[in-house]
Amino acid sequence: MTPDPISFAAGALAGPLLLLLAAAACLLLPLFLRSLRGTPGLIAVGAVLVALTFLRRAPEVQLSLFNGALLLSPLSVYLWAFVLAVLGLTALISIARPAAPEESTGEYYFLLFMASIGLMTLVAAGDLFTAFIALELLSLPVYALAGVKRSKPGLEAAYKYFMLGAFGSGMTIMGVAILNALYPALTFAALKGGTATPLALAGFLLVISGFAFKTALVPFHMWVPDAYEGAPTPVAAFMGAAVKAGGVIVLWRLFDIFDGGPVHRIFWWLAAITAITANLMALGQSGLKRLLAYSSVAHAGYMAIAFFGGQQGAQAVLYYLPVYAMATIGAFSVAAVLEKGEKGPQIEDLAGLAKARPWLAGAMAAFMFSLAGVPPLAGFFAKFYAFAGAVNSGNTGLVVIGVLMSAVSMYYYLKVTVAMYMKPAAGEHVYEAPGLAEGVIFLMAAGVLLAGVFSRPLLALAAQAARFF
Amino acid sequence: MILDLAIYLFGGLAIAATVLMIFQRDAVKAALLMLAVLLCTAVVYLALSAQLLAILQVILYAGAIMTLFIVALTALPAAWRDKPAPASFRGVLGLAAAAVLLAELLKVAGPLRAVCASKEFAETGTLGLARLLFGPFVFQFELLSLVILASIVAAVTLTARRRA
Repeated sequence: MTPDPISFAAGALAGPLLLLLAAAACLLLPLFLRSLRGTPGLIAVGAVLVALTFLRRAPEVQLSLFNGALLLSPLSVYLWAFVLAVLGLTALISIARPAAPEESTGEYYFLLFMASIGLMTLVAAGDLFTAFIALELLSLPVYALAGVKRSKPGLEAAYKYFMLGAFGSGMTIMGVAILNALYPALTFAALKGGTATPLALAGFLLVISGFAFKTALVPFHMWVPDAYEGAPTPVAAFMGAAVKAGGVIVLWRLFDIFDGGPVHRIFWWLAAITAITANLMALGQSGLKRLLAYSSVAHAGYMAIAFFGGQQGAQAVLYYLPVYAMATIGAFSVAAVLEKGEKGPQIEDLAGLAKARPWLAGAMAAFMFSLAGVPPLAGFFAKFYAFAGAVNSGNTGLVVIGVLMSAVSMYYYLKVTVAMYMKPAAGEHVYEAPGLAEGVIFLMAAGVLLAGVFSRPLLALAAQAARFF
Repeated sequence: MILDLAIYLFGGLAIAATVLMIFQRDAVKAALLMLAVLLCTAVVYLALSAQLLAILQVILYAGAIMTLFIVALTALPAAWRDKPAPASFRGVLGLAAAAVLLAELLKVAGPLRAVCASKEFAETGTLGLARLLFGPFVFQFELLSLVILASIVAAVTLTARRRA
């Protein structure tokens, strides 16, 4: 039974508000109550679990709140569940492998929660102005999180991310200003109804460039490798899984405003260049986190290919996001477990892992194969649906590029697997009793496998959500 | 009448101070002249009955940003000992940019006067701004408060000295 719209909206909004309270609790409680020191992680995970219970089956309508600033529908419920899951998993890895120095744990979770609230607003935003503010609420805490360790690579990552991110935000707000002058309202519905003059096109291009920065489409990806490598590993996992998702959703809404025309041609080129460049640049990487960074850029390209598939593509993107997030969070968790230095493990550090820790190596292989798109893992189906939609809409050329580049990507994903299974260990792998981090890794590995073999339930949810896009 | 007088007096003062600031080669004196420009502009805003803008100009620009400039100058003695070398090429470039700006200003002066005199313009005062902020834009306004809160915590996290 579905609830009536009013009580549904109240329940749904309680989720982010609860996160806000929990963020304040993580920040303040340990300051006043000595006995609560060191517990922000537990408060965070508990809050996420409670917030998940606020998510209800949405009525089959799109509710528009605050003059169209916030859209609640099955789509927003689907994406909010995704955000909460990513947040909870990030919090779990952060408990196992702390990303922040002991005394800034409270601030760490506070910023993580703030970024998640920003992301939840971003994916449900009904107009460009709200989307811009939500983007800032998402980005600002993540800049700081990248440098939360105050180590040299971390601060460098934070600085580069901040400078380029500020540049992207500047472009976005410039575009929003132009569109505000030309259109009666900034809601996506109003933008869709208006006629696109050349000046409006310039505004749209500025906004698209700004969001392409966050999604890391080539040529707006320059910050990604350094930011992912320098940021603490759990934060890098959050950036890959969550921040990217926010950009993808908004880009998709912007894409949907147009029916073909120059904007779609630009998206065509963005997707093609992203798929080609990111995969070629990933070939030469030796650091695991850097490799995953380029892989995340490449996957943004594949998702951009899915935009061309219309309704089918929308469903594909919604299926793609959690599948990609599971593999990425898993792979980054493996990096966190093996991490010794500041910048995460090198690929050769994984040599001999299959002998020393076979389960860990098996899980890592599953993530790599899923990212590469090997059946029956979920990554294969994600790519399949993404490309199938684009083929059906007649963009075969783009899909050929995507498939070819996926084949190229096999090389570097296999490089990791080969190192684990076929190379003798260079150093000693310290055996540790499996803990929370390993738990997250095996959960993700199971997820990647099950979402592939039994892809129907997740696909059905994605299809239901995609109708409200 | 008295308002017109104030506009011309303080507008003229602002122009004079700007010109002095541009040709001032001592950084501290230039900063103080800029402060004078900002305050004069604030008075012009006030005379144009844009009270909110005038107060914001004093608090934000004259208050916060100029203080920051002056603190930075006093904290870095090298900054005000370092006088820029005269560069003819840059001077020409600057004059060209100024000429373009002046041409633009003259071009928009006419339409701008019409806008300022219109009834609609007179009604967009503090009240109108408040109505917008707490009416249609209340959600975005509240969201911005979260952005500011998050940035404060982010800045403190990055800069606070470690407790040993």
